[in-house]
Amino acid sequence: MRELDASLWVPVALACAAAPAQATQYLTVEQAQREFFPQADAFAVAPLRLTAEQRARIEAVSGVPFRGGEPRVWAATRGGGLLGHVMVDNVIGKHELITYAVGIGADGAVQGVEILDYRETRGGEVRDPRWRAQFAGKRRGAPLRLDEDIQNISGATLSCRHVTDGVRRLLALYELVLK
Amino acid sequence: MRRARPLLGTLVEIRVPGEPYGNAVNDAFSAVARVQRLMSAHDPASDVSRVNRARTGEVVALDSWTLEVLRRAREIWAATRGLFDCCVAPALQRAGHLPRWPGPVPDSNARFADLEILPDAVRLRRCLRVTLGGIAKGFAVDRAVAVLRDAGVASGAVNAGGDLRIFGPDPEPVYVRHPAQLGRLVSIGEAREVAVATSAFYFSRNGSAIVDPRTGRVRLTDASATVIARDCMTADALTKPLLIDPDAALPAIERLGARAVWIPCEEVAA
Repeated sequence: MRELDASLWVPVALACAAAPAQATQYLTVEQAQREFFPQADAFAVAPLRLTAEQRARIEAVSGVPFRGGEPRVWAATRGGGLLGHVMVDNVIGKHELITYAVGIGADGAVQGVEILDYRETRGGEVRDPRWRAQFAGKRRGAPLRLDEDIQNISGATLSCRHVTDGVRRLLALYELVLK
Repeated sequence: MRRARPLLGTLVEIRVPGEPYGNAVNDAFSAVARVQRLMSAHDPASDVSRVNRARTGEVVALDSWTLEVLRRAREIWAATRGLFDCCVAPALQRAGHLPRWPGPVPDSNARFADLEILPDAVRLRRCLRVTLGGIAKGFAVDRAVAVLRDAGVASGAVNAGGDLRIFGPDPEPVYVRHPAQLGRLVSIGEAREVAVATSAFYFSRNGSAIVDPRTGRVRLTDASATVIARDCMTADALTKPLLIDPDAALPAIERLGARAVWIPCEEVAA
């Protein structure tokens, strides 16, 4: 590696590496739960089991279709009293699969959105359920330090539209089913 | 410790040495969110939207952060002889890259110079449409870094969708995403205390749109233009002139104390 020099143009013969597809874990589900509701003493799974009619209603209200699995939801409580909900969902971009979490207070207001996992693909794997299956399941403990975690990359046209669309869908789901 | 949130239309990532800095990271994200509230063209309550709804002659009071960005945008507009221009919104709207905003019809002769920048406000000499989409991400990165530093964080990085800034005593490797070869990274060496921003199209003709202010036309190219500067606002703004006309942009980049990296679309030696 060389220091960036004072010349304006870096010569064309730059080192160019084939990078493994980026995979970064920012937070586990448990860490995200604690970030949204640090005072909670319990997180109870709230199974959804949406009916087809509910799904259709949620898609119509939010304008965002369901693709793939349903979100996972937990109710955060303290001394049995409801503090809010944590919802974990996946969205698929053009080349990326993003797992994210939304914290919703007892008043129905979004407390925060955090990315849990970000995984890039080079090919069309993002649509292949078998590729996605390798990331299924919770990982307990501190986030793994992955060797593919290259830092300081400039230049990406990644849009967070899929995540913000997903949040809108989760809020519609909350309004319809959980409130 | 790394955290990422959807902000500024992209994913914003913050990296600090460890868990004890969690509050500082939250505060840094709050600063980014504040930039979004002030400068998003899609938010009708933002400073930018209020300017875009204002009539000729109107004086619009703005937040000090918005004014700081406008002043810097004016300096870079002057230094690049208009290659960087915040008033390209109408051309972007015509090309479908920006929505049309409500408000009085902009004067077709309106130029960036028609926005008079006062100490606490702007006055519109003509009705115009301004966008800070080419500079606000970089400013947000700088503000986030300032929050982290003020909180005593000794080293770290903020990356807003590819506009990044690293701080701390030790040099770190920096990469640029190859504009045409998905999954390839180009090493641009090691650096410390530096901001890096990149503009390119990345295989999508509907991706980021760059308008040449001299012609009003959307400009397409296969290359990728990276600017390295001391602050991210400057780096972010300068990538557009560099991508549009590198020969014209280079003198300005040099005068502003920055450096450029141009990555063409041919195969680069591995």
